[in-house]
Amino acid sequence: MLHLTLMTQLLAAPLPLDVQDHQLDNGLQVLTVRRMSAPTVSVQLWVRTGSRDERPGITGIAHLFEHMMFKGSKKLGPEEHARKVQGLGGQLNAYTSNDMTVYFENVAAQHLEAILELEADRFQSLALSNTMLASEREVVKEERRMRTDDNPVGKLVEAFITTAYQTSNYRWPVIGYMEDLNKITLDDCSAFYKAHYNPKNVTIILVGALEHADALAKVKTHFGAWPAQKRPARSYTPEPAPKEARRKTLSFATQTPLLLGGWQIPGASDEDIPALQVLGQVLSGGMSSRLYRGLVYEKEMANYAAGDVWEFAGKGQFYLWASARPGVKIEAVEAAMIEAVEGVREGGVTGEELDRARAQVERQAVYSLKRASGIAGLLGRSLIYYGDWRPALHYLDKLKAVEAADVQRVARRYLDPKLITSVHLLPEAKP
Amino acid sequence: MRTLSLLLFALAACASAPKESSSTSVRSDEFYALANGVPVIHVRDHSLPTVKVVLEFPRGANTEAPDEEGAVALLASLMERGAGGKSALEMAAAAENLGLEIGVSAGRENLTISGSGLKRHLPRLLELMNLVASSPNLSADELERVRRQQLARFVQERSQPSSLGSNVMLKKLYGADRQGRPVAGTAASVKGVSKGVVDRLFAQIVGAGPAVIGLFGDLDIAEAKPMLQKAFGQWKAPATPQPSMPLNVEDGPRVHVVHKAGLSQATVILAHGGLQRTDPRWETVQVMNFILGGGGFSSRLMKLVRSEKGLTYGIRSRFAGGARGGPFTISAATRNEKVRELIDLSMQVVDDLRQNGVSEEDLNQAKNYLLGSFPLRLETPEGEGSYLMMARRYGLGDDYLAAYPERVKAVTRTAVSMAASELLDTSRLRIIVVGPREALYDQLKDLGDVTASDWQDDSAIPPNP
Repeated sequence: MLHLTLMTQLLAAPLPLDVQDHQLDNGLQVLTVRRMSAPTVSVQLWVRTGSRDERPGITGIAHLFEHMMFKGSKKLGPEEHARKVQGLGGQLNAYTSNDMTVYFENVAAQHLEAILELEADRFQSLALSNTMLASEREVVKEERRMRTDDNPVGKLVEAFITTAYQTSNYRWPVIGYMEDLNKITLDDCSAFYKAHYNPKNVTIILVGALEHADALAKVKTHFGAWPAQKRPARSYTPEPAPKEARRKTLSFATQTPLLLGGWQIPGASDEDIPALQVLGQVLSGGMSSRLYRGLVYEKEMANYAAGDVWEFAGKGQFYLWASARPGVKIEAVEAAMIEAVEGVREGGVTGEELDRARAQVERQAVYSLKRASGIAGLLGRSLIYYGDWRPALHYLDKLKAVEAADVQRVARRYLDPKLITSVHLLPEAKP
Repeated sequence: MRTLSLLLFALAACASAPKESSSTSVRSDEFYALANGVPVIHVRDHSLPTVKVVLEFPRGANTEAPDEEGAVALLASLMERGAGGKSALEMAAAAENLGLEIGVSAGRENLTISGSGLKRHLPRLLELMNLVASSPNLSADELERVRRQQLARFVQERSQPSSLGSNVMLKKLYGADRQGRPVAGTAASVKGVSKGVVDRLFAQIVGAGPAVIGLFGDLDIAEAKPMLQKAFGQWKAPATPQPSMPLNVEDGPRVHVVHKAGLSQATVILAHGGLQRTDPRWETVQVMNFILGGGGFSSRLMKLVRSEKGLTYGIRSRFAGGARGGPFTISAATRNEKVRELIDLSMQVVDDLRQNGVSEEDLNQAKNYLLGSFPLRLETPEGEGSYLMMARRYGLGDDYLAAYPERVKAVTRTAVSMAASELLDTSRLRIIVVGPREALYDQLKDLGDVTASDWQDDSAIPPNP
């Protein structure tokens, strides 16, 4: 009886999460989510800073600084934070994007306080040194070589970003340019820490087998004395709408041509985003989708072909992404993808496609609640994109409310083939 | 302090459940059998209205004859392309229209059909999975389609240095043995697989029945059993795994360069033979490997090669396990000019562990991690279910969830030292490097005989340009 009730309610709105929102006196926001299906807890610290808060000349500092957060504090030596977390059986990592930096630990619930103590230590008393910066700079440069310089997909993504964004703070890569990584100084790191790592710029999200009041008390114990500071203003230069198509071609030591195209769309909190996400499902949600069925299965032009929303807090992208089969020109793949988009712009989507997209997003919504870390991510992204976690509970409703006419409208409004940004990566010519 | 409470109705309903603060109140593992004797591993979990069903057939790529390599992988792809007279697209739509996902995958030891989705669609999910298992179309047209797709995938994989290195490593270690090529086979072998071979393998692998069925999610036994019986009662008996052939490492030149000009960073794989998943030393080796290179920032390799020397973004060691005992590997990527330093440091760490063993502190760190992170591996019913199926596959016992922590706790420094001396040997490590040979040869030439191949087609080329 209980689970039938739960099931019925889960599929209704909003998503059933037991969330409490607290704010400490120093301005630190704390979200506690009680979820008792496993004896684990996910601890996530969402910092409202990312590569968009950098300036040209020191691109990559947000991400390099994220690495420095593992290099020791006044109390702990380099990587000792990580070793202590692992000694508790915890899994940990961090990531940086254009809009945010996130530190997380997943751990057995009884270690919640120990994790909070460790996080409080590095957030409040990080020890930065030139020696640590020197070695970690090399680590990040290796990361750049692996993910971008020697990687066809990384090359393509970087070329796309720098072509699609020419004015806004999104116009440089999150990992930064190699020459900038070489220039970042310890003073730059200290200034970045001081500017962005303070209570009003961080939200702690705790999800799992916890009691709200107890978890909050633990956070207060370890973060309550963190001095309040004014929340830094985030600069953002909006990207003007492109007035014409932008194209770029790269060559790389690969045998497989790649395409990454896209159109400018509004930020992730815009009311048109759900319809664009449904469009993404129609184009690339499974084998029945228009792009897979048409390009991969029927015409056998591509190894994969997809189109979907690429979320940013500011102007985002609706991307097209494909890899050509041997002997197929990437221009032909792009033409076929554009034809599929034109099909939606001119003929809309069918009732069956819409129903399928709804079923798929409903599944995704339920599965996003499987892990404590997934729930924390859902709330965190909402905080960054909307400035509020509550919209996370309603995103499934919004997706399910999208009608066929909405999908066609957004395709017409945003996906104008004459305004595409398109980057092709081609195999190097043989000498 | 501002506190805003938003206690939603569903969890309010949940709060009325007794003792919900314990995971066991919403989760239980059940073991039973269908009328035909096929065993079922059932992880009951009502926390979310989802369900996953897995059929595991205990034969995979290891059963292929030398001229059939890749055939089981083709069969798996083909089984996703239409069944019961419905075309590939019709089958896909039938599942996707309900948000269901159904897939077939091939491994070295097994072939697996899995399906998942919201519980309210379970009858349809089982119906579709039954069609995939009992009457896939296996059409000649679709076979050609999946063959072309796989051949294109081989080309695409060559863009990834890690794939290039890993494939060469298998070939160098295991030579002509089936383990010497990936499950998907090679372009040459896939081109030669006939429809007759695929049909025979279907009868041999799927026709023989599953060894076990997994059901994980929002369902009680009373509800599940008749549904499973109806969907999967067609086999006469469960299949039994074939005995695993021993796996031998071949002799050969010590160093191999996969030449790819223009790379700024070389990918390095050090490898020798490993151990079987069934080996009683497995948990000891997990502890040892955590300390060596499996434990992230806690590992010795990571500490020296990344944290102190800044030579790589990540370095890790691993025992692949499996029924036959896949390789032991250390893998990392570093800028071309630092390859030798990375190799020397890695070997130094391995030698030190073998010669001097581990400290009590290292031992406790590793054990604490393996024990403490165990609940995270079981966080979802699917995670717990796949662990139980692994335990069944390797005969570790249905009580392995309880036995595993005890086995880890029992690991001693002496046992780790013994495992290190038995299983780690830098003199046996083969060295595979993907990168520009002109930047690598001088660094590698005194490590042993060096061979080289071209990244585009594996053709042999001189290692020294």
